[in-house]
Amino acid sequence: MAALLQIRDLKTSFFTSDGEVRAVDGVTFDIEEGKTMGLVGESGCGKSVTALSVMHLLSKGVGRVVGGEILYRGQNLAEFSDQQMRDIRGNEISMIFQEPMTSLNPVFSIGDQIAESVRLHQGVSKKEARDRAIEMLQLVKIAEPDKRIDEYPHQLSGGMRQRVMIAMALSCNPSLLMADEPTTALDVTIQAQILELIKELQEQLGMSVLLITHDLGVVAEQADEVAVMYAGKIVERAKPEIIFAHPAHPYTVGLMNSVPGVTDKSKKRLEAIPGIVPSPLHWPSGCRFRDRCSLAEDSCGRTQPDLVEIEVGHWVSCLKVPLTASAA
Amino acid sequence: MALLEINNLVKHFPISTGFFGRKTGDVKAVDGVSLSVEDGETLGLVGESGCGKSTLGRCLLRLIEPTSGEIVFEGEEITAMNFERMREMRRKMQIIFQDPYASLNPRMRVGEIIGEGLQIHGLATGADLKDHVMGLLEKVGLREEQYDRYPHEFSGGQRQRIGVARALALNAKFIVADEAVSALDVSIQAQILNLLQDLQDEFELTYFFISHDLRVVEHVSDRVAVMYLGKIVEIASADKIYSDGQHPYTRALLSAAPVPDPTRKVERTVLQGDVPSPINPPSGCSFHPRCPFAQKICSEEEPPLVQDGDHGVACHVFGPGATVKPN
Repeated sequence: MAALLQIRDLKTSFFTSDGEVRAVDGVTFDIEEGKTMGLVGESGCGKSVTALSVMHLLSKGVGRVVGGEILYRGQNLAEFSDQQMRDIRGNEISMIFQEPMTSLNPVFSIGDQIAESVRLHQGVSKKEARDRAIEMLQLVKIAEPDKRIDEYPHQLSGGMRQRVMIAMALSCNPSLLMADEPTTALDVTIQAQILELIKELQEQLGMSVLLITHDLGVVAEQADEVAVMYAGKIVERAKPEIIFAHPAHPYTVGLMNSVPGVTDKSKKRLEAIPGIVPSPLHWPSGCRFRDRCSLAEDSCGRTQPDLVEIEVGHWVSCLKVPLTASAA
Repeated sequence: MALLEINNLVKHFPISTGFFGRKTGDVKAVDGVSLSVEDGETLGLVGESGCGKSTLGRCLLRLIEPTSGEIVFEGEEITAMNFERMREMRRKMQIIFQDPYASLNPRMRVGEIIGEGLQIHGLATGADLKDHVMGLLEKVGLREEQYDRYPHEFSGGQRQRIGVARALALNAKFIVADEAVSALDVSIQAQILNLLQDLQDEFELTYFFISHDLRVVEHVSDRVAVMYLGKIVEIASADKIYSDGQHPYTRALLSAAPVPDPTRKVERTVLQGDVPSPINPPSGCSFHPRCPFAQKICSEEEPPLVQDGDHGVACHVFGPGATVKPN
C-alpha cells in the first residue's frame, strides 16, 4: 500500500534581496497511514518550511517550491492551484503551530473560530456547526464545552489554547495533521497533557501525524519514524529504536551528545558540536556538515552524499558512515 | 559558611484597578523562600512558568526590591543597603539573562558592553580597559577582532558568550543564570553549558542556575530546588532529587519530561489542570488541587519545608515532614 504522503526530492527556496535562500533542498520521506513521522532539527534547518510547502502556506512572491513532488494519495500537491488547495487544507491536511495565541483570532470566540472552518468546508448550518464545535471541544477534553465555546482566546491558558487549536484542526476529520512544535511554548506538565492527547486522538481517528520538533525526547516518545534535518536536507532517517540506539550520522551523534543525560549520565562535560550552522545563502559545497564534523576528509567537500540505506530501514547521508558500518 | 543566605524572602506585586488605582490584591510571586547557596556550588532552581523563579533570581541582586525578608551575602545583610553600597556589592553579584537579543544594547559595541562595568566602577581606563576586555573575549571563546562589532552581527550563542563576558568583567563571585541557555539550539546550548562549567572551575564561581529544563538543571547542578507558586517545595542534592524526589510535584515534573530513549516506557503521572493563579493561591498546600495524593489536611494547613539532613520537603504526605499516610 502506498504511503499517505510521499515527499520526493522537495526543494523550496525563498527569493530575497540577498539572493536565493534554499531552505529545503532535496527532502524525501513518506508518511504512512495512521503513523507519526518525527522531523527533528535545529532552528533554520528547513523543517517548518517543509510543512509549509505541503500546505502552500509560503509567503506569496517570496517563497516557492522549485522542485520535487508532494504526493498526497497519489496527487501531486505541488501542482495544485489555490482553489484546489482549499479543498485539501482542513479537510485532508491540517496544521497546528507553536504559538497558540498568535494563531487564534483574539476578537472571535473560540466557538466561532472552530465553527467557521466546519461551515466553510462542510457547508452545514450555523446550528450544526456550533454543535460540531462543542463536540470537538469535548474531544480535546475541555471541561464544560458548552460554556467554554463562547469564551475568547485571552480567557484561556496556553495549554487550553493549544487544545482549541487541535479541535479546530481536527474539526473536518483530516487524514494528516502537521504539528509544528506544538508543545514548545508550553510547560512540561502541560506538554505531557497535549502529547498524550495527540496520541489518543490519533488512535481514535486513525490519522497520520507529521510532528516537527527540536526536542529529541518528544520524538523518541511520539514518533514511529524519525528524520533528522540539517541545513535543508535529511541527514538520517530510521525508526526511533534504531536511531537512538545507534545513531550513524555525525550530526545526529553530536545532537544526542549535546543533550544532557542522553548518552552518558556521569560525564560532566558535554561533547558539544563546534561551530555554527552555515548560512542558507551559501551552503558549503559537498556535505554541509563537514565544517563542524570530526570525521570530515577532503572527499566530503567534493561530493554531496546521498541518503543511503546502511541497514534495513536506516538511511544515512554521509560518505564516512557506510564504510565504518561495514567495517564494524 | 554559605555565600548567600535568604530568609523568608517575599515579593508581592500589588494589583491596582479602576481609575484611582485602588489596590485590590497581590501577585504573590515569591512567597516566603528560605535557602542558602554555598561557596563554589551550583544551585539549580526549577519550576514552570509563573512560579516565581525569575523574580526570586532578580530579588537576590535587588534588581527587584523584595517586599520583605533577608538576603545575606558574604555575611552582610544587603536588603537595607543604600544605592552606593549596593552598587559596590553588585561587583560580586552578576546576572546572565535568557534572551541574548534583548539583553545587549544594540547601539553599543561589544567592547563597550563588556567594559562598561569596569568603567563605571573606575577599575580600568584606556588601554588597560581594552586589554582586560580582550582577555575576557578570549576567555569566553570570542575573537579579539570582534571588539568593535555590534550585537546584531553575532549569532544567539555568540551573544550569550558576550553576556557571560559582561558578567565576568568585574570578577563576580556569584552569578545568577536566568534561563541562560533556554533560547539556544541544543548544539549551541551544549557549548555554553561547557563554557559556564570551565569558567566555574577557573574562577571558582558560584551559580544560581534558573531553568525550566530539568535535564539541563540535572547536568549543571550540585543541588536543586523545586519551586511551585512562589514557594520551594523540595530541595536536595541533584542526585537525590532526580532519583528519589519526594514531593508529588517534583515527581510529576520529572515524569512529565520526555525521555530521549524510545526503549524506556515511562510510567507517567500526567497532572490535571493548569498552575493556579498566584493572585489567589489555593489554601493549605498550593499544589493540593492538582495533587493525586491530596488529603483533607492538604487543603487546610500549609506544609512547612522540613529538613532531613540536606533534603527538604514541604509536604504533609511524603518526606521527613509527613504527618499522614498516603492513601
